[in-house]
Amino acid sequence: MNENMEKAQAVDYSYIYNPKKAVPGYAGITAFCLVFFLIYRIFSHNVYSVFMTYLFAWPLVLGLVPALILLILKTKNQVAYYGHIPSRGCLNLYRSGIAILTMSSLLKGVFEIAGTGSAFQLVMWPAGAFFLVAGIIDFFLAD
Amino acid sequence: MNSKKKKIKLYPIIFSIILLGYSLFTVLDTFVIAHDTVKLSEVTSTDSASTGITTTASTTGSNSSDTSLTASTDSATSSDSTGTSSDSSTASDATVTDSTYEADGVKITITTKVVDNTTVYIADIYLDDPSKLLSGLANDTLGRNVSDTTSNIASDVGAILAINGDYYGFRDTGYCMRNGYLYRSTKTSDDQEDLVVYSDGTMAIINEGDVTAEELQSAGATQIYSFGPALVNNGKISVSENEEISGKSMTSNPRTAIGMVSTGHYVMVVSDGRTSESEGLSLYELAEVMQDAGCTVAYNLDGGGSSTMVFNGTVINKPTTNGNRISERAVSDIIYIAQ
Repeated sequence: MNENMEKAQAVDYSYIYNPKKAVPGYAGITAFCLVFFLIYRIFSHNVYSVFMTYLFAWPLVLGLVPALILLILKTKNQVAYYGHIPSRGCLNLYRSGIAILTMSSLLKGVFEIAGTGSAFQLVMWPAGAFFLVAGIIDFFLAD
Repeated sequence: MNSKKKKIKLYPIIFSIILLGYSLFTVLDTFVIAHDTVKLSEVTSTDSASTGITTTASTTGSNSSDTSLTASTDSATSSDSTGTSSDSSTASDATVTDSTYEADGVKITITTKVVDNTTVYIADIYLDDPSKLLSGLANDTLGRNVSDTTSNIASDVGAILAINGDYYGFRDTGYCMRNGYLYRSTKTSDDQEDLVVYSDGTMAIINEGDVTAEELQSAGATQIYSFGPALVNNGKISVSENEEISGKSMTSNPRTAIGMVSTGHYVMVVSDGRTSESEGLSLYELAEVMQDAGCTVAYNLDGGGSSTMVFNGTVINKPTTNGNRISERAVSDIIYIAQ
């Protein structure tokens, strides 16, 4: 157990990030994406897009699964993983990345099904990736 | 501590507003807001002395080539830029029935038949002057999200017969040339098949990866349609039985296609679909229809709700919009036979 871990255990950081609260949140968003796809499919004349079909994968893989893992790793009433403490900024960046990528996937799916595209949607991929990676870097660099 | 908490909660609110606002703008820009518009009548001028049009072509976006083309499409500007119909005296010289049109240099016969549980409308067209095969635009304007119904555009240009085009205005890529004016030379992909109509009336299938739009313009192209795929090439069906548009579309759909039997002899086909009366065609079934009609070259245009055929001012098929509701959808462009 390194110094950071010891510091984390000394303070309750659950007001910043509590996996117990995050899990149902991400589960809800994942379910919403799945339902959105199923409803949209009814009106899309069997034209489909993988970006719409697997829309739910973004919050599932990037949100729900990590939250479940962190829930397992969580020390009692405290948040400290591998000696790092997720800051509010780190969480904001990471969640923003998931939101941008999910929205980008939704728009891409709608546009593909309609048979068109948009340059404004394309820039959302690198923007989402930037936020996501920045959040991860912030998590590991934060002391 | 309280002030800190308030600041913390501001971020998700502000971020959500920005993300939703940006997404809404993207949707509006893609489906609603008209942009990159070019008034066709302002970039083309009639050369009455040579009975041709001189077109100064300038493309949009990253395509900044400035090329001049003199095309022998004398009636290319017969579509009055103000949207008025062509001279009715011309029409009065014609012999017109519900399914035929015959006038000096133009002969059109429309047959309706049922193929694979689908109602198919086949227009067989003979033109002494191939330059009467033209493109019409919604509001006489090239641009993204500029649209009108096929029948309205046909009425504006005084078309005898019209079908919907490739709906170029719904996309940002794919070669686009209309009546000699090169509007877009951005390729969709190397494999994208386009239909090219040359000034002598011949049609050909090209791959965007093999030739640039500027080269086609120099070779005398007057129209380039970018949708596809090619249905028939060199007299042979060029789609597989299971081929669909980008592999994503359902197999049975309303369809629109155009083909050439020989120079001056063309075929336009529209099929109904998505209704209990008419199932719709697969691309392969459509290719078979075009081949049976004698086409040596045939090309698939925008289908689905866009598929519309207008003859003598009347919509003769049953276009579907928003599912199976019988109603015309607004499109960017049409292909028509001028009087």
